Amino acid sequence: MIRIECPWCGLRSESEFTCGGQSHIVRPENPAEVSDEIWAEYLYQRENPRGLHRERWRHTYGCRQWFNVIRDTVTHEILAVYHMTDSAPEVSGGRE
Amino acid sequence: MDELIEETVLAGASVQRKTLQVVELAAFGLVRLQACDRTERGLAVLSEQLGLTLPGPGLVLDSQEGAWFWTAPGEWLVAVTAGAEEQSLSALRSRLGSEGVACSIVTDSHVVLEISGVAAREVLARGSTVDFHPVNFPTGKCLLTQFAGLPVLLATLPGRDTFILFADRSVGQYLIEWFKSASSDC
Amino acid sequence: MNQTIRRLPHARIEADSTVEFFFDGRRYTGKKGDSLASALLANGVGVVGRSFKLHRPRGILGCGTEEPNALVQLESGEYTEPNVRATLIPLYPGLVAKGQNAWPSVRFDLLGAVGLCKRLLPASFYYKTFMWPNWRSWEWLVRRIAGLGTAPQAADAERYVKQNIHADVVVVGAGRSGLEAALEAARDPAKRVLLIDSQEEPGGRLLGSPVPEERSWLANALSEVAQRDNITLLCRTTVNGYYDNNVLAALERRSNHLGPRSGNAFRECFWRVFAGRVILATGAIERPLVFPNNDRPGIMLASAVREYTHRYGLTLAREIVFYTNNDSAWQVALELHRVGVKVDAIIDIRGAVDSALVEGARDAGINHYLGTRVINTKGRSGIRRLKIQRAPADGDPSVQSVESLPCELLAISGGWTPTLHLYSQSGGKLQYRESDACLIPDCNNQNISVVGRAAGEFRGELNLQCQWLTPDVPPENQWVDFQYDVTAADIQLAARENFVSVEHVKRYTTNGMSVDQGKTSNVNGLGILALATDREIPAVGTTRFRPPFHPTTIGAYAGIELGALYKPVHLLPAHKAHLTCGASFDDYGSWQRPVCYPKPGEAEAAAIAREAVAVREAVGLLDYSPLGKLEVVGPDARAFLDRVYINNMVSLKHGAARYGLMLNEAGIVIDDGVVVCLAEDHFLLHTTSGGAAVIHRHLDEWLQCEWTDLQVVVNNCTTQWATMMLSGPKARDVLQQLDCDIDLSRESFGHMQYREGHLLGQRCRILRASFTGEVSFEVSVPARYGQSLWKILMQRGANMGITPFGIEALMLLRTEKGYLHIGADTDGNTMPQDLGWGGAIARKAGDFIGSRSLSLPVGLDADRLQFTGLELLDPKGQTISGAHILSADERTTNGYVTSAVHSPNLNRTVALGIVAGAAQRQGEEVTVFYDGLRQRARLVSPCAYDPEGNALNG
Repeated sequence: MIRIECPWCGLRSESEFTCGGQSHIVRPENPAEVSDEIWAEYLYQRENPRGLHRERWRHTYGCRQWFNVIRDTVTHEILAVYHMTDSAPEVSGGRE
Repeated sequence: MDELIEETVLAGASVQRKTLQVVELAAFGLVRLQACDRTERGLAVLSEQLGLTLPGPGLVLDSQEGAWFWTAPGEWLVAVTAGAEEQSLSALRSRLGSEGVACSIVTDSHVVLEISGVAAREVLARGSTVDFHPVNFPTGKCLLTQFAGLPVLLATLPGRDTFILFADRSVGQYLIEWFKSASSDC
Repeated sequence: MNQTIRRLPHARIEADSTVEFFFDGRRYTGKKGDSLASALLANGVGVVGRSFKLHRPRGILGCGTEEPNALVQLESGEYTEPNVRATLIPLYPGLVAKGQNAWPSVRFDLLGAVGLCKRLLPASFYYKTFMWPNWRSWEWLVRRIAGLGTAPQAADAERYVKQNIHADVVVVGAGRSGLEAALEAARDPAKRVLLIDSQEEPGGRLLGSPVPEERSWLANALSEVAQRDNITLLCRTTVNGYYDNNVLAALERRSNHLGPRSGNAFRECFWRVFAGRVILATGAIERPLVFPNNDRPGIMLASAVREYTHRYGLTLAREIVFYTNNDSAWQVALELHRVGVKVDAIIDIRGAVDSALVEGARDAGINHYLGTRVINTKGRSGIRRLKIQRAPADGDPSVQSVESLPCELLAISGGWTPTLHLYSQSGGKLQYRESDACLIPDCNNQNISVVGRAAGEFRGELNLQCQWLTPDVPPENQWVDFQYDVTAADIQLAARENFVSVEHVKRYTTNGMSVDQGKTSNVNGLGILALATDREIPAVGTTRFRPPFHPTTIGAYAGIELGALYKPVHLLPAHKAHLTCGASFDDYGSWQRPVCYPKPGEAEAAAIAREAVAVREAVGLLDYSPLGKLEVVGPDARAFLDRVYINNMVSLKHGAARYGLMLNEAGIVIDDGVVVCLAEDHFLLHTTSGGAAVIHRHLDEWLQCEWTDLQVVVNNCTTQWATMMLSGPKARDVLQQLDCDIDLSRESFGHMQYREGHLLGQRCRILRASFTGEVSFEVSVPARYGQSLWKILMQRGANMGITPFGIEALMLLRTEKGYLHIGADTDGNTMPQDLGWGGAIARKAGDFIGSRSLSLPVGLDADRLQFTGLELLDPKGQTISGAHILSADERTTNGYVTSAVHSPNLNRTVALGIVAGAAQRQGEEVTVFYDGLRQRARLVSPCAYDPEGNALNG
């Protein structure tokens, strides 16, 4: 069980959250006009890094808000927590 | 002539132990307020219209209407006197104007439990992983958490060492059974 | 045998107490403060168990969690627990325990004959010996012979609880180092310190110390701990798991020391500990020496001898001999002498030993043999003699000097293993320290530190000389893992068979795999493997430890979440009224809802059919409260909903309702329901029953993560309203009898319309939609009036034949009508074009969630499984959901039946399904297959009952 700092509610247990997978996936602006390949990539292609991963979580049992975290997939250390609309901050540590 | 008869969720069911008591509180009417514009500017306008400094995460505000609990960014639960919801609702609406804020009566969708006794913090810590130590959860604080597997709002009213738990009304019976079982040593 | 040994005066037991207990059917007495192990020793019980594979008699080796031999079956029936270490059971009055793995008892074990077949049972014997004709033919026999305790048959009569706790500093282990660390951390009054110890009382090794200064240090430290408000001390609590972000799991034994029926509400407490910083003061475990027949009863770790002597006051034997390769055992021997216990000899592998120790031994009259090895032991049910061999003084191996010594107790020490299971679990790496042949902490990513013996700080040098096994004598009888009967020869065999990875050797030989997880055997096994493969220990590597450190009662993992509390149950507002009406309940999602309302003596199927007919012919009443109700509000609400549903929501007028389908971004149908426009910026979404939370989350995700500029909020008001569905030709008549300010007439309140008003003086919402095909009024009042409304409707409708109906009748009725049930008639691939919604998609201009995915090649495939009705050609035929539709050549499946009911209104089977290309194949005949039975059926329109929809507008 990892502990996650909700930007609004503070440090909580993993069981209060839902993981939404990789973050910063850009939805094509005009879906009707993109190729099948690009659409399928948007739907299904995901990173699976050993090290830093930018992903989104929702505090399901709390404020119901989605937010981003940067997590080291090896140590489970969470190196940053930031709002959905923010861009990913630079972090040191972990292994990229 | 038929008449609809009001019934509380637990119809008097409670937990009475030496060091822990759980009873249903029917003293509140509940109003949910949700701002469509959750930007800083939007919330500032809202505060101004209401003439209140709306509480942020974890905080409880005592106002004329009742107690305001933060439940999400731009969202509050207002506990007013039971039966005064309609009145509070129109009062709020008149101050807020028509657009951009959703106000709803949510009294019936909730069960409100009061948890008291010296074992209250210990028993609560059997259902949730948040820190119930008085340093971290003093009186006058509220938080949303997973409790006994359910989403709940937990609050302490200023100056009183009893907890108030807001949960969905459909799980009222389950929660009472949970407290009974969890407090068998109390 | 029953003559209790007199206790030494400095023991920590209550000398004048008498505690009666039973072991293997015999009655014994011990003292208050004893463990079962110390009480057995006090009664001279030497054999306490039989080994796992070969049924060799085994005695007590250790004094704590490391004990591999003294595993007992504690108590019986609903209180029994297998594999409990006798060393960890505090004696309580009336305790009943049995030795394990033996028949009829551990003293006379007829299965001991297995030992004669040892040659047949080498490492990996499971894989090699029992291969013909196959393993299964032998399994029953092996399981009977080899094995530990008996799993309980009855449900556990005890109760358990889980408790969460937070602390700034958590200290694991309340021995000297742990107490020092806790007191140091507690100097800052703002810091919350949690001190956890697994023993019956704190003190660790100090509890077994005869040194007066150490005893008074402990007393002082404990009184200081008691005075500190910011230290919480948890005794009888074993930390078993160390997880990410400094989360620990610990098991507290609350009433185990009192025995069954203690009157305590909870027997054990499962603690989840959230720590800022963790300090491990977990001590170290002594290692046995590996030599021929080192497993005889009466061979005991020197540290255990120390504990039994000073803590429990036992004089264990008349002839006590020590055998060691390091200084710590010498200290124990000298301490024994100081309290008047005679030590006969110390045998040391080392040729030279610190002169102070040698002089001490000489002064105490203890013979000592330096540069000497034990090469064999003798004795039937316990050790009687030792064979020792002096190393040739001038290095000439031809010079043999073998002696035989009498010995009733052999205290052994092969060095110390820091207890780093938790450190390893937390992700920490270990490093090997050559000087005392032990693994110590290396590096760790968590906020953790290790102190005392766990860190390899042994308070005085060990001056250890490594000996992993005894050279120049056969390895076959040199035991490494006592619990699983693994010898040095087994490990060498694994190496010869080319197992080089330590993880593989562990599993092949089972070294360290039993319930003690190799607490005394892992490091010796590692050393022997290193020798056998001619490598250094660091090159061999170590196995990683996993939780739990010590076996944990299953009941403690469950806590109070049993039976009715297994998971949260949602009850309807009118739950009690349904009980009164005789409902039978079942779980639908997280809701407990009426299945049907059987009359006395009526079968459920008959009740369901009766209810379904009543709805078609008169009127039925259903508690529809779990129907999801989400209010979507805001200036952008309409635009948002237009992107959420595949249907056009731009033209939905105030007071009107429209059916909508919702997709995920992959184009898969996830929900359907009726959308109502309450105001220009205010909509009410009905979701599948019980699906409100899921759809709420779906909508929130799009609003918060993608369309952050939209000003929309979602309010889940599902349980604010109790919703009663009146359905049937007389539904309106029933409702019209109630005082209501809404015009309910056919002319002004048509199908798919919505009204708000007052019913019996209270606010109400009424929706005309239908999931039965009959005229239906879904009447919602604030939930507090739900039960009352149910009762009034039942009363008022009585003269019109009102019938309460449950979910199963509802499902039957909607199947007759061919109304889709998402999740039943759709699967994880269903797209709207499979449901006949291709036209609507084509007409919708703007983008909506999932829109683009519908035109991916997968969405255009002509063989997609599509929703259809299925009419069996045999009018008496029956089928079930899950039956397959066969392809023409009968080699593959072409789809399957998703819903099938016997329709009491049509008096035949009505079925729905998803079948490849069904939209283009209407009228075609197919074969339906289940349970070996083939039936012909025709693909037809899903709607079998009232296809014109006359009933709806009645």
